[in-house]
Amino acid sequence: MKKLMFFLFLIILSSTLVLGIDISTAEPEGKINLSLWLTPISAEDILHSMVSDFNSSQDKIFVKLSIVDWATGREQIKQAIGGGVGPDMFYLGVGLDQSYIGANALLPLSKAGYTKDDLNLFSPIIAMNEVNGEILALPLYYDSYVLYYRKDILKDYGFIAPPATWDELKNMAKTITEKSNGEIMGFQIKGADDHLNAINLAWQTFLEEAGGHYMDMAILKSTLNTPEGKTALEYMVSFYNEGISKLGPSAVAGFREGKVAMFEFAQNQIIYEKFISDANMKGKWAVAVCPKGSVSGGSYSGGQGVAISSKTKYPEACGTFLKYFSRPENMLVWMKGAYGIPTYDLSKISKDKKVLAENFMAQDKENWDAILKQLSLSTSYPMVEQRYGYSARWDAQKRYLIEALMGEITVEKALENIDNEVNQSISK
Amino acid sequence: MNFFIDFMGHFLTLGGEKIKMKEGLMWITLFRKKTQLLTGYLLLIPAMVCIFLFILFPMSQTFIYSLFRWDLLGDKVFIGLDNFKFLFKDPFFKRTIINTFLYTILTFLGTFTLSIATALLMQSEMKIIRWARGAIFIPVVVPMAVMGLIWKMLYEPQFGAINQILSFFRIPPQQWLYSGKLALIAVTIFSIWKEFGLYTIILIGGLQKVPNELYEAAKIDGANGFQLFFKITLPSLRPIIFFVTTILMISSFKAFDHIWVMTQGGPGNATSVMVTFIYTRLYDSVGLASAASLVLFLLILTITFVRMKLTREETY
Repeated sequence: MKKLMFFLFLIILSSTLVLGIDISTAEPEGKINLSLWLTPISAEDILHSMVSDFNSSQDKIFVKLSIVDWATGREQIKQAIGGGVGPDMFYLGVGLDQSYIGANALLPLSKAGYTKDDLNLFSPIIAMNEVNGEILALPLYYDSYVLYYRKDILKDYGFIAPPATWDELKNMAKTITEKSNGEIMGFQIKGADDHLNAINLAWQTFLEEAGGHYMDMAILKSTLNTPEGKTALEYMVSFYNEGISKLGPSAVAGFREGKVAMFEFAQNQIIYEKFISDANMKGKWAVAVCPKGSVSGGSYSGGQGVAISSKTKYPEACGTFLKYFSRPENMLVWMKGAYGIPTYDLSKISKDKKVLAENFMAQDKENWDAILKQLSLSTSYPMVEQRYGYSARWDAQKRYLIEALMGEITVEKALENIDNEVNQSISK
Repeated sequence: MNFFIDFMGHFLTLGGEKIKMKEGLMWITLFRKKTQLLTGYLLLIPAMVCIFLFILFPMSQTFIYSLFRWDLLGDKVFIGLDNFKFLFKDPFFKRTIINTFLYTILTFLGTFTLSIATALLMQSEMKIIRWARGAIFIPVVVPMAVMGLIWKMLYEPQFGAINQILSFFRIPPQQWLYSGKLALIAVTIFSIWKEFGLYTIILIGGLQKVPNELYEAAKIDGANGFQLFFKITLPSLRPIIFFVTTILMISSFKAFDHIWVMTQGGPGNATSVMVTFIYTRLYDSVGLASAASLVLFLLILTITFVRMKLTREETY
């Protein structure tokens, strides 16, 4: 019996060891081997397929793709690069991160074979990835906050169009919450629910709409505790103070179940939450431009991209891969996979490729019109300003903004605390 | 090795005079002792290597990093004790220390009370009791993060099972993880539920070693239940209680995974503890995170040391 147990143990151990060996991506000899780490910016099988297609088309370059999860992937990438064992190419969100810039960890695309003509094909908001005249990461697609609204609920309560301004949003949300005796929440802020990190994106939206800035770029100080910052946060807090919204209930789940009439979030939820394909949701929902604030109608805009490590031994090979990965034909991949907004200026690319994007958008014209309109209203300055003290800001905002929404801290104190933590991070 | 020594000993006794033989045997004994000592040290090397690689080296690196400013990517800049100075002025860090102590005290009291009460109830060897012992151990073996996610759903204010159950008793729904006042308590309740099974089993083992004669003798002398518990059970369990409470205290100070998956330290700063502070700072300021780690280490060491001093006779 003991012998049998021992042999069983050996078999299990050997199987574990064998299964742990990754044989599927053995690197071929005689080729330049590049490593690429990505978060799941589209379905993993699609990403692997794209890389596999590239590898099949190349005699001299082989790219090995590793997918890192959203929750810890950015930290894993940073840790690997900091440890000197990072990949040749890696995921980097649009807007960049100052710690990468300060450490000269990003290779300018011009050194990877990108010419000015190549970069001119992209829409001007590629400037979000620009530092001192150089583009340091290639955006694959853009995201933009939009207003998701339940047409059926709005109609039931007497509204035929989504709100266009902050006042209209507040009034409509209040009416819905009150008339439904709290059964339906008129508006929920994403991030005041189970998706804690999203408060940072919601905040960017309201801050930009109030005309606020993250930083005074002249003196590199955080500037949230300003009249504009207070206007934005007071507006957000008022939804909870006045009982229109409640902390906790999920915006997305509530929206699907008809318990939340409106919420703002990135356009990719249309695909990720399957609103577009859910038969139960057909005809009941749409997206609209975010209601205009006291100053602007801009909102969070960002996106997903890829950067090349400055330590790569093969910059030109990386450039070759990036050009393939981001070519106009692949716009459809990002659009289908994440409703990703094309990074190309459609008026500058060839007609046959432009038609691909236009035909896809035509299938859902109402929503795409709103998404593109919203992107045109947004500016790039928030993403550039956020580079400084990014991690500290991300964490501090999550804590203090929620405390303010809960009424446990004043608006001024919340913003002051965020400024203090960000300034401390920048000055270290 | 022993065969070689024996062989040499035999060879010497065959070939030498009595004095030489005695000397020879003395050298062989010394050689044998030294060889055994060497063998012992050689066998210790793998463990020493592990301790060095996974404990001493990281600790020394943490101490070194705490004296630098470093964001993982740029150059390391020596700043001396500035990180520590910042920590002791930072209101957020102070808040995490308070939360850590609160969490530790609540978890400690709750887990220990529940464990000892359950252990007393489960001393019997009846089949159903043995089954129950297995059942209370199930939460212990499921990963903390996994159970944390499940409890997060249970605590959901609108649809969670806990509020549904409360509604049967006409208690209004609570915000739980979304309430600054309740979030820490909610996380503590989960932690107590998750871990008390382990300590219960340990205490049951201790209880079973208490001689029955002590209880019989005390009953004959007229002792009631309380007296039996406080005069016999608790004193007999002292070494195990010391072990259980020390481990419980240390693990509470280091709490992280379930807090992170349930609240990420929020809402606001309500459940931010020292380890969540360290984690959130790590990828932005390695020096600050290292300094905070050292502070946590010294705190736990001090408390454990003070405890050991106060309960000297309870050590094994």
